[in-house]
Amino acid sequence: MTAANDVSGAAGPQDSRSQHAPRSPGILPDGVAATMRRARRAARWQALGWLALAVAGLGAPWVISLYQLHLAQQAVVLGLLALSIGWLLRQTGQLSFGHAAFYGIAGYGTAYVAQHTALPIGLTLVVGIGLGTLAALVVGLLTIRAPGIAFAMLTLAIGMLVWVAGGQMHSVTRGADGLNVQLEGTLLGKDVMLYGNPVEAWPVVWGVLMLTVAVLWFLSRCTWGRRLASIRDNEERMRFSGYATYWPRVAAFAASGLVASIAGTLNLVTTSFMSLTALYWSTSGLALIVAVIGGVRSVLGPPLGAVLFVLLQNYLAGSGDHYQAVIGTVLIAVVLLAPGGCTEILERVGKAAASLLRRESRTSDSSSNRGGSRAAT
Amino acid sequence: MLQLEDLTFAYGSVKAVNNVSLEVTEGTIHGLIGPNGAGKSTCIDLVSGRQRPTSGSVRFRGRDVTRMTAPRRRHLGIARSFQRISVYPELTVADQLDVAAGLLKEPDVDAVVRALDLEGCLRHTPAEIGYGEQRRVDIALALIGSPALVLLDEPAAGLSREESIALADHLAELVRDRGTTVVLVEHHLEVVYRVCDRLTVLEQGAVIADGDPQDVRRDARVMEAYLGRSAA
Repeated sequence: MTAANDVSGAAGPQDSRSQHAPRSPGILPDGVAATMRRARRAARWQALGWLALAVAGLGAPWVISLYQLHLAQQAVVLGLLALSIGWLLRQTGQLSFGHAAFYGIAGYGTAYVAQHTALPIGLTLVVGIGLGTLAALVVGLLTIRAPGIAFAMLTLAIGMLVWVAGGQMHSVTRGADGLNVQLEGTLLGKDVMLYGNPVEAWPVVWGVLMLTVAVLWFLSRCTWGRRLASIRDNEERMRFSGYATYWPRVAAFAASGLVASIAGTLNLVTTSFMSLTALYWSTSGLALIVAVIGGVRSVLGPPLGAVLFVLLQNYLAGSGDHYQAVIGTVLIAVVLLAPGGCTEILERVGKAAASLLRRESRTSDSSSNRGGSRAAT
Repeated sequence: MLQLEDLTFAYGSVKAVNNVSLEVTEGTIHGLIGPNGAGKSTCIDLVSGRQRPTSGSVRFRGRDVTRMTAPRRRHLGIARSFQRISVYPELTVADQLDVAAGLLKEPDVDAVVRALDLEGCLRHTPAEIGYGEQRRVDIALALIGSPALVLLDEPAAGLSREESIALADHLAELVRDRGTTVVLVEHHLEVVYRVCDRLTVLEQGAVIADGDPQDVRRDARVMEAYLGRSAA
């Protein structure tokens, strides 16, 4: 017996916690590579599910009314912003209250470039998104080392500074009056003003959301994403595994800022309007609430939360501000009962349905076996 | 292989490590023992880059690594485990070993898995496996990448006597097979005397004895430090 076996022999029987650990039935000794391959095979099914959803979603204009499509478009923009905050939370464990700043900077930046330069509309959008992302990069460089609550407070403070600055820069933002923007040019073969119509905008809006979901899903699963998750889990251990943890976290923050910037620009393209509220901390707060309700463990959670929020808000529109009380109650219920959000609830329902189906199929198998043995007797 | 030269580390006015000088020879297990608060773990922290010394230097294979970051030291070949198990709570064992193997270009992570008998828990997160297995995952994370020097901070803490002895034997085998050098901080004196080629005893941050384990065992100051004045 080798010494390695000695270790196992000693550890096995004496370790009571080990004996009670929930093991998969029939698990065989396995290598790391084989275990990872199995996980990748499971991911293919998720990818297929995403593809089916992406294609099905494109058909929305033929299924729902114009008003509902308008709401869906709002949900997509909010969902993108929620996704940016939720993905950052999921991958790094860092909670940002400053993403409204990147959302607003991208929107106002796009509007400013469109009004003051003769750049083609495509390039204008890229510059606007770039400005928001650059702001995220700078904020990330300054704040990412701060732990937990300090990071949340720093991003909140920086976000509020940007909001105050926005209010002061009246010539750029039009202050509390809001900024109406007439975008001009051709974007993806259409006059950009046509994107004010939800039917025209929907394929682009939905496509951007699904593409972002796919990219973030891939980033979460690739080597870099798994390293980020490892940093979130145990930063010190990562450093003692030879990984410098600062730059990957800055990159993750900038990537999430990019998604928030895309949301801000998309909002401008579809509404032709920017208001200072876009920069206010409550925009980040709402996106965070939506992300938590949807569930941050899945990239589809935040958009799902946004859909639920917009539906609830619309359903309760006649009741004044009461919808906020309902949203608050839903948030409390989700945090207490299903911390993984709606995606966790859906997962639980799926598992329960699968186990029910298995039980029924076993019952029908055994009754047919009994019938068969009686006939044989 | 490893030289600590007049190493001092102070928390304010308290010197946790006070002018410690010692040399660790390649391919040996060097024990670092002493009562609680003697400065053993701080020494490990200073060698691994978790803490920067107030004064003095750390040389590894002739190179001054005193100001080097922890990730750079790891790539040079200085690895460590932790007194409190330090693994990734949300990742499966396979995931965490795979991440570490990718970072450290470990071509045969399965050899580490086999050596520490972790095959059965690869698909589980740390919360789903036993304490002994978690401890072995912590050590596996330190062994990935075949580091030249492994600093083990109380690896037998929380293990039964049998588990501790088995772990000690495994460490001895590791040094023999891989030529890995080990610095072992341990309270289990049975483990220490079983495997260590050399012992350094610390008390209140300073070295009070250093040499062959059997000689150190009989040292009057060591007996006093461990058993009190009457024993000495």
